[in-house]
Amino acid sequence: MDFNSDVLVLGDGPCARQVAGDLAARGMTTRLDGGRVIGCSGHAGAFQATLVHDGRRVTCRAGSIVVAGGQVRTPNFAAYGLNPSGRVWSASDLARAMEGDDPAAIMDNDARVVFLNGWRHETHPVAAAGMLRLCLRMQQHGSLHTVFMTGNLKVTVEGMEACCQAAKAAGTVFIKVAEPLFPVLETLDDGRVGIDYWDASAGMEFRLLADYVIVDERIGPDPALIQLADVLRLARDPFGFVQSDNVRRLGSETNRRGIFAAGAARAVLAAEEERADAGHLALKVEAFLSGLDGDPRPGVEIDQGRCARCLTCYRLCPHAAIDIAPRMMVIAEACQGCGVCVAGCPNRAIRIESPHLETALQMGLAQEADGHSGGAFVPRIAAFCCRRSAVAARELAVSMGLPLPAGLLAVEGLCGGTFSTLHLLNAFDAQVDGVMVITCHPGNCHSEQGTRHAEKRTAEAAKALAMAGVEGARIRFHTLAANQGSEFARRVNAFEREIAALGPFSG
Amino acid sequence: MTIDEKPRVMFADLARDRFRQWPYAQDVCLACAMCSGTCPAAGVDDFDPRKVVRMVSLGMAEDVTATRWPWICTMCGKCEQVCPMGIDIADMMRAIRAMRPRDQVPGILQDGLANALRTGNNLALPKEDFIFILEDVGEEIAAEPGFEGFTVPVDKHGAGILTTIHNKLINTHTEDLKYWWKIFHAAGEDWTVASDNWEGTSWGYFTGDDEAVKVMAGRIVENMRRLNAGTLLWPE
Repeated sequence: MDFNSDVLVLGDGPCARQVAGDLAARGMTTRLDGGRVIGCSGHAGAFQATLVHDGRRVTCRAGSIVVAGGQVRTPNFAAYGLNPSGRVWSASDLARAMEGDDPAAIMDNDARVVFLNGWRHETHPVAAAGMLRLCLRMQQHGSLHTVFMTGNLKVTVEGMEACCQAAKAAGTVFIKVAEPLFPVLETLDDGRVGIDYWDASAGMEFRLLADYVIVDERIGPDPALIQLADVLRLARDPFGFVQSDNVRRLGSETNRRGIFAAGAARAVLAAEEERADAGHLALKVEAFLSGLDGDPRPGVEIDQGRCARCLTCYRLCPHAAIDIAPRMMVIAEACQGCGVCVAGCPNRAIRIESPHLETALQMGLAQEADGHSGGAFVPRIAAFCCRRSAVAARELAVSMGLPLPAGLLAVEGLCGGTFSTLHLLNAFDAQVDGVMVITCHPGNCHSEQGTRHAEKRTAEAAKALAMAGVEGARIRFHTLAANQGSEFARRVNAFEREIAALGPFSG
Repeated sequence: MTIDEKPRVMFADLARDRFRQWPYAQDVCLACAMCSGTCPAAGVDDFDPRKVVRMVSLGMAEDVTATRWPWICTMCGKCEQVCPMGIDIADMMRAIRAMRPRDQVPGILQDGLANALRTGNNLALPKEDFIFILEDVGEEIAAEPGFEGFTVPVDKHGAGILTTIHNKLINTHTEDLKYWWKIFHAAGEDWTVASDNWEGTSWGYFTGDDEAVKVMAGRIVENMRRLNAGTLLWPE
């Protein structure tokens, strides 16, 4: 199929416009579309999206897709036991009312305006920073008196601390709210809100009457973004944003090659972070379209003779790289070579070009169990290592000069998810005395679920060994980051001592 | 006691013009409590420096003035040294002390200061009694081996050093005078003591009375001029 170099930018907010502008400025053919996506087929370099505009269907072909839209702000009225009214506003209500307006025009002179921020649930710093900016503007106006009643206030957004100090210097009263003495709120007949609170610094009980109350907001993904993620088969983080909270994806990649996430679609970001995101993303898309993205990937192939069309590979693939029609095929352009499908295939119908894995196992098979013949017992340990974490950690340990077990046989895989239960059991056939599986930390797996698969398969192998009467201590699962060289050494050396105490494995 | 039974401060009653009425940067307090953590008097009467800063910031300085804690404060200034926001807490404490009516200044501070302003020393000691004590102590020194012929040079013009005297050293601790003077003698210093306004303490500092501090300091400067002394030694 021909490689399409057009870029489809999905979204209609400032971030999407910024992304489209940055891409166009770098000479890429860009289409900015705020329509609803109802279907998407194809793969990196050849996507075909179906969008709906005013009830009409439009098909759009693109080599790359950028998701750049969609957040909603939900006011926390209920959390404070308040109802929105002429005197109880959300932060967004106030921001809209103040657009280009003089605050005096929207509130009575001399009014006391109380901001409620993050009492029971911490407000996102981006939302809190917005509240602070509004508070400062009102206080600086001169005819209004502002009070900022806040729980934990993390001043992590650029300019936020300065804003905080400026508000204090302008006369805003800050009141820290903390458990267990939450203020008691009461809506009075005239709509104003009475607040009884304990001032921890002064050590006194106060009663505050608020002419206006401004309530904080949660920022979350737009329902349209969640629907779009489902259509595009994108992994989502626990909050629902289209970039799982995974170091391998930062700052703009998704689980699918050729599909990128920016700004509001991937996280709650401050405006300047969204602008930086757009610039970064333009470079990423350009690299992808030039074929310069990522490392070379091993080939993966499905043996049609063995394939039972059970769809396990389709279901397991974290990168949407399996085509099911007319037959099960690996889409080379989308495949990232993690091998999760290879290890998961119940009929062993999928093969991966991974010479190291196969060679290491065969070498182990061929080797005489020299540790077992004469002299002191030297345990032979097969460590199945994810290349992105454990292999790098092992190299670091070696370069740091840390001693490692003499009988350590490292078996490398591109992902922890590439090791099947059978691989692990075969190692015992190859006369090793213990097996370790060492992968990335949960949530930081390049293949999203590779760590989880590796842990599950280790447990399955341990169960099979137990049925054969082998000690469970001979097989072990660990997670590591690539920079944990000394931790790698500590873990494998501790394991070696345990195996030495158990003695040689005799299958 | 539940919240409802506690006496409340009505926020609306707080002075609206409180803000920036005081120049000590109290309004930028982060409530970190570093000041309270380092304060030797924190916790006495359920007070601490942070509470004072907060109350002043909320326009409740008069409520603080009515308590005895500002006078329990040792004025050591550690609070101010550790404050990350640079709030002038020690100066603020002095300002709070200054707000109290003078007849309610605790202990002997106000009496001693009034004596000093009226007579030149906290004890209201007449000049002839002062000189008598100086000469008496001088004679005791002269009786010791190695100090034969020692005398106290009072009101000597053009001396190298003019020294002030803490009233305590005249009143109850005359032995301490001897240490100073013996060192002067051994070092061959040309020194002198003023017969008027010799007081080295300045209790206006403790009572927050800047005017009194100015008067006391002015008198010492005047002694320096009158006696044309080279260096001032002000051991307070």
